[in-house]
Amino acid sequence: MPISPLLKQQNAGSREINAASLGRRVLASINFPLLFVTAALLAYGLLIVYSAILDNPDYAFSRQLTGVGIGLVIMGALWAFDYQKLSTFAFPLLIVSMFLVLLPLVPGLGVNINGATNWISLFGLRLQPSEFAKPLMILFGAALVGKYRGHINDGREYFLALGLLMLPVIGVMLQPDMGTALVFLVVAMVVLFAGGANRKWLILTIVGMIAALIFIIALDGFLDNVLGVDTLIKEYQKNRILVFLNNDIDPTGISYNLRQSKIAIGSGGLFGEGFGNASQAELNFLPEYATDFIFCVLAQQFGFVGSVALIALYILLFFVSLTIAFAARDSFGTLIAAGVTGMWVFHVFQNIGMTMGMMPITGIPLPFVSYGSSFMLVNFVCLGLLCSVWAHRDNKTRKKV
Amino acid sequence: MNVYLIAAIIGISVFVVVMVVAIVAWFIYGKYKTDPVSGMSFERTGTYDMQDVNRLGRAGNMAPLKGGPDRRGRFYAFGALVAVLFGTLTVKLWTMQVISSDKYSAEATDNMTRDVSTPAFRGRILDRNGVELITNRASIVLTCKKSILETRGLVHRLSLILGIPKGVLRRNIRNDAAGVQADRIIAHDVPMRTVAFIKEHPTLFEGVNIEKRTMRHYPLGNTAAHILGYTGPVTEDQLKSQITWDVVQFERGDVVGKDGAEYAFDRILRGVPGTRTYKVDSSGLPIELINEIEPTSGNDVCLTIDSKLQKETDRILMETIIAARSSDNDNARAGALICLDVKEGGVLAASSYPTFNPADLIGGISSDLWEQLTKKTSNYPLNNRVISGLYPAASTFKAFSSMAGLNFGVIQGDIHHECKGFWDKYGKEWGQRCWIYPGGHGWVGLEEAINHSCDIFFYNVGAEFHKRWYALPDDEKEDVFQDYIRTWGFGQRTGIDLPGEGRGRVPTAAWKHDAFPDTPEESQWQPGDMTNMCIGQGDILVTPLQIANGYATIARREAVKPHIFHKVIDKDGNDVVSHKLEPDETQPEFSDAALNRVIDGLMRVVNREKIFSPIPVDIAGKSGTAEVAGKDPYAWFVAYGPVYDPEYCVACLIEEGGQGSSTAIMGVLHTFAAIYNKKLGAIVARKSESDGER
Repeated sequence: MPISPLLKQQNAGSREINAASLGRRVLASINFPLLFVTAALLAYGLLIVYSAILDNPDYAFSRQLTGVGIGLVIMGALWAFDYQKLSTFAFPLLIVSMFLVLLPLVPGLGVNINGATNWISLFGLRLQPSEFAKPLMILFGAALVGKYRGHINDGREYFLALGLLMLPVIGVMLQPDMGTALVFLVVAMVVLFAGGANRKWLILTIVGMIAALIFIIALDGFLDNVLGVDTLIKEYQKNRILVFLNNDIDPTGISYNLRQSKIAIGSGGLFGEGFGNASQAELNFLPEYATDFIFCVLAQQFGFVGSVALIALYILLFFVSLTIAFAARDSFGTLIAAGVTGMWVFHVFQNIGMTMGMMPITGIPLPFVSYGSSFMLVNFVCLGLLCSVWAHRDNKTRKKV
Repeated sequence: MNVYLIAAIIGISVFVVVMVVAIVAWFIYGKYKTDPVSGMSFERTGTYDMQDVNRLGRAGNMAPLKGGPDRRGRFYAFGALVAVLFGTLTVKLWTMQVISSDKYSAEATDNMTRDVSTPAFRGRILDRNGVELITNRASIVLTCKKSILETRGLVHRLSLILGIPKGVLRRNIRNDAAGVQADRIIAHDVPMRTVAFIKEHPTLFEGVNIEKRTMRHYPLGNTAAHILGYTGPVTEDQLKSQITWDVVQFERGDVVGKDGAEYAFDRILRGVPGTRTYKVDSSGLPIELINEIEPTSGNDVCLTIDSKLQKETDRILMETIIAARSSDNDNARAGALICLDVKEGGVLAASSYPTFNPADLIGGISSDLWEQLTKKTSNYPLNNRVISGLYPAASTFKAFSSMAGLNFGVIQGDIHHECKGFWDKYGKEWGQRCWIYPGGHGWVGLEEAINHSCDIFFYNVGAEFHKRWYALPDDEKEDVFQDYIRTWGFGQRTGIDLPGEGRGRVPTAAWKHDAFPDTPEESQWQPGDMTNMCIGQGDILVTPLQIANGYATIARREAVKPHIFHKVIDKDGNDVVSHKLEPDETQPEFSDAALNRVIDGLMRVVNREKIFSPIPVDIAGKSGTAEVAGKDPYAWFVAYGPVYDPEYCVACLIEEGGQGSSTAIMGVLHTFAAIYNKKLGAIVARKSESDGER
């Protein structure tokens, strides 16, 4: 099995085999801006994680490095793999994502953490299957919508696609993990948007979702009162919304986390307290400082300058992945890149936004930075998909011409 | 920090290596202007034209996105949305990290630091000669939480090694006087051997802490207990009301003066507590000491007390009471004795009996002890009878009645009144007896009336006052007598610098009207009220301090506020503040001639009492025997000397002590003997020479 179709093509081709031409081909299949940006992000992220978990025996830096290592291997494999082979597997992809999403609901397998059953325990390993469902969701969405070639005008077609895309979203909501469900929803909407769904259907969908949200809130209030049990929207979820609406509502109670998070960020100042001076994390005032609130650790140590540097790196990443979307040889590849970008945009905005009280608090990690190997692997899978889209941006048809 | 540095170096070097590799690769790649695979220029990547590919056409999703400008527009719209979102993030970051960073920094510092105050050494209390009355000493105490009572066998083991009964230990541990949440003190002054044993067996004594504490120490035991007072933990009320205290602030758990000089001079003694700033984690556990401000010790306070004399008066008072009891005054159990420095107004000694051991009360009073000290049969040892005990002044008051009579012309020249032992000026049914009844003093003038304490003479004085200023329509009545008496320091606090002073009472028609609102007949001022007051009976009430102060005023011919404060000494032994002698604002009005007549009378009293002969100086004084409804008479004696250069004024009161001239007089006599170093032998109540002289 040749490592790259590019090499295969070279063998089959009539051109002279030489090292220089091989090197050129390999280099051409690499998107250097993507490499730079992710390398920088990764180095920055590892530095922050290292400083955050240094004195805490609950975390191991080596685990994070292992995640990166395995991720690199997967990324390399996907780079060589022609993503287009998956274009006809829309339904198998849906089935696999649904399986992963519903796996924690299997009795005896799921582990309930913080009110959501989104972890499974398998042979002593703890995994979040819904994390791995994210790239599958992107692939499924791209395969489903891609075949419309940029125009979904027929309402029946649109709502069929929407309905199918909503299945994994509903699956995640059953866990219930609202944060991850939102990620799935955003990916679905981005793919539909980029895939050329008619504007009126999109607007209708958004209006419908708002209506559904209002209905659910009303129904929840009704059921809670009538049954006297906490149904549908759970108490802690309502509290998060309350805190989002009023950041200072209960500084020692439900808004404690947000308050500590804001203190960490604000105290960073323009240039930060310096490396290793993340007192809010070091002294345990910050909750989940290695995972969900890792941004605060960065912000306190490196200040506004360091925070903006991170945001700039992310914006570069989005820009590069959008150029890859443009460069894709087919709508499937374009939508993969768009879906990956959409997912990252949501993750980054939601995570940083929640640490500052601009978004409600959810357990959405920061790509390439947060501690945790599941999501690290997922990011490398997404990177691998982008690489694959880039590496296979040329097409054989061009040569035929 | 080293680890962080290494991590930083690793992180940065990884970043740099990756960048260098990437830039080198970029450089090599950059030489190829066209893409070797697609034949397209790399620079065109960003503007890769999908429509070029579109034209090629493909089936199903193998074909590139169709749509051209519309779909491209969607990507631009998406990009714009991203720009807006992250622009908002950046603006929000700017407001938090640059504009209001100070606020958050302060909160972060507030989060991670805790200030713990370190107590300052409390200043000592000394007597006028610098003898220590209260000082500090280190003590090893065992402390614990209340919960250790639940540990099986622990109290038993503690009882064995400490040699303290289990019941006492349990009571100590349950004692929440220092605060419900505070550590309980199991035992004070634990010997080193016991401490070593506890340290060697930590598992046997889990929850028992060994602490070094500074304790208040009373080197002279319970000498001057009432004046010195004691300390205890600050109360909730004090914490709440401290807003009105401008300089020193209390904190929960602070030790403050509770009574006596400890209370009165608390702000001088307390010093300024230090502050230790700790770095703490989210659970409040201290991580490291960041900053320390040393506490400033309190200054020492010298009292006007002479500890040698005080020891003597404590003993004399107790022995006088015992002597009174052993001479048919079975109910004599309490009393007060005070010696004033006439020249300065300072208290040289003040004893109140029964007394208590102040060392038992420091650190909070247990409810058991409190009950014991406040129940009726204890005769209330915590009361300082010298300043808070209220008694009828009895015949000691006649000196002031005389001054009033002389001042207002009621007693003029050599006026004499006849004493037949019975006085019925207001009718037979309102008749009043002289103490000598049956019998009589015959015709007496002022000096002899004082000498023999003739009641009839003073009834006549009272009657005259009543006639002139009280036997008038209500709105023309004048409290001439009472107002004058007040200028001698009665019916109001003398203003001594000790807490809990009694006000006393000088009755007036208005007072009586208000005092008995439900019984109109009793609320009426009667002529007898005035005549009774003139002999110090009826509704008039005084404290022993007021009597001593009044006689000291006679002696020095000027009113001075009595006081106990002598001076403040700082750590280095320098005088910081000394008491300044200032005459009272209100001075009694009198002529020297009038005063001399009264003093003459007072000297005749003492000269008649031969027992004062061992005292090497002239003494003037007066006895008193107060009638108290339902009780045996209260015995008074007050005297000062030397008459021509007064230095000391001594007053003694024995509750239910019988005749003043047989019991209380002994307290005063022995005090003067102690002052002039005369040995008089044991104190024995006497049968008065003029038996029953009051």
